[in-house]
Amino acid sequence: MRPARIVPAIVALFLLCTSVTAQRGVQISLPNKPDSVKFMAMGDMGTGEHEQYEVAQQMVEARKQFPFDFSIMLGDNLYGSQRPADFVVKFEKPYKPLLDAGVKFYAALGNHDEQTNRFYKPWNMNGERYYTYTKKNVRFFVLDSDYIDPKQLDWVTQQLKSSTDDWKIAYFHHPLYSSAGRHGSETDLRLVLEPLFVQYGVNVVFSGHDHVYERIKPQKGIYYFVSGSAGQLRKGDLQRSALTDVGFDQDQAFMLVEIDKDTMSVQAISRLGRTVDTATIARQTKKQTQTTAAR
Amino acid sequence: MEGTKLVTTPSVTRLLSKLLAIPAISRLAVAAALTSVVSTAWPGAPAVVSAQEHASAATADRERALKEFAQRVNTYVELKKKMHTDLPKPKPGDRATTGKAETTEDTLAARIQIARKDAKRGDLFGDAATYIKQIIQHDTETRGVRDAYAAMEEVPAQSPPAVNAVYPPKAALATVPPLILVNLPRLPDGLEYRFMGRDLILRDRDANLIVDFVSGAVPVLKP
Repeated sequence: MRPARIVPAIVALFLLCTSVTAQRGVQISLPNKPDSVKFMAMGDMGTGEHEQYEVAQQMVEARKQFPFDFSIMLGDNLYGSQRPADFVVKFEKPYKPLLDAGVKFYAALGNHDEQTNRFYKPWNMNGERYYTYTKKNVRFFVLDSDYIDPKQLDWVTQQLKSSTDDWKIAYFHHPLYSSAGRHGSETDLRLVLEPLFVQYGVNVVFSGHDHVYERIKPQKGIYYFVSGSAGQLRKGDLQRSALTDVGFDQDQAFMLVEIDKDTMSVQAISRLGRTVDTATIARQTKKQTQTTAAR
Repeated sequence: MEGTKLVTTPSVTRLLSKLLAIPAISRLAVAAALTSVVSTAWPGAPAVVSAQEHASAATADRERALKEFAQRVNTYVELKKKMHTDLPKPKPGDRATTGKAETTEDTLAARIQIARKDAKRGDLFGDAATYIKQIIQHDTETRGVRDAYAAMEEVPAQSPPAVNAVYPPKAALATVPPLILVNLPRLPDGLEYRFMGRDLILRDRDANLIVDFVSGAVPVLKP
């Protein structure tokens, strides 16, 4: 076959493949065990723009195969105006199929969120800036990283100290580790929070703020994810560094997470339904985290 | 001046000799003797004492200023409670769908604005502003220019703020570095420090009001 004919053939094949993939929707690669904890993670989504709606559509498609029953929101849940109508356009409409299906949302506040948003019932914050809840053997610690004052530090210390749950997951808006160019790692926050996370055996931390997806190499034995592109996107902002395990900054993305006994599986999916990362994490014991941190 | 005379009897002398035989007491006695000699023979010595007095006076001033600031903050909180008595306390579900949280916030803000219509800069911070500036200045020096820039990266540029004005509703709330917060005087629930331009504001979280501010709290950063 002549080169002149090969090129159109390749293009046709590519178009055929992408159209088949689009028809099939998201390909779930998680174990999908019957009794596991299944959730979705998204950050920086509340724009009300069509990209947010397209990502939401992928979430709905993903849930058909992977029936997550709750979602964690990593802050900047609404941008700009935050009057009642904005809650409809930037939250209730895009996620309507999920809300109708009974998916619960648990929000952390970002720097663009008005603080009265903690009284918005569908976000399950109970009027608190920071709070904790459990799902089976997993405890979630939701922090307000906009304003970590001594009172909040005391609170999180006490909560972590008293938790006997198998998995401890913290989430909040600002990342302790990030290779994105716009913001990057929040070193101040890291100085006050990381020692607590190490001491009390936090396993995984999710954040947003940087509008990219990044899986960070374990730091002091703790796994960190930046997932701040479920609505906003800063294309090309990821400056892959020694911290980066996997990164994606070419399109919007969100995460699916499954925890089954001592294993966590994650899958990051783009606005077009492409899987951009998958990983399996074995639960670290508190002792392992502390030992790694001490090295 | 008979009372000031050191009366030495043989028994007292014996006791003194025994005491001076103990090494620790002996060292103390030598130090006391040296201090006495230096303070009489060296005219510069009283200046050392004066510097110490000066430092302790400065500490006392600082403590007084911070204490008065805390008192004024408490007075504000009391005023706010009065303004709030007949308003419903927001509860989960009051945001967006019913609009109750916003109404409470707006009503509270309006009442406080009327009650404090003559409020001006410094009414709450007072002399504490100097010490708060020092804390921030020290923090900036400690963290280095690059980190200081990073800490101030998302601070909204709106400046100057105005006392008793509503915090701009669409402006993002910049993160206040936790290492600064641990050093600033603690605030009661509902009040918080935020940066706005180079100013530090005291913000009422429930009413979204700027209660007071410290002008130029953030030093000019030189690369």
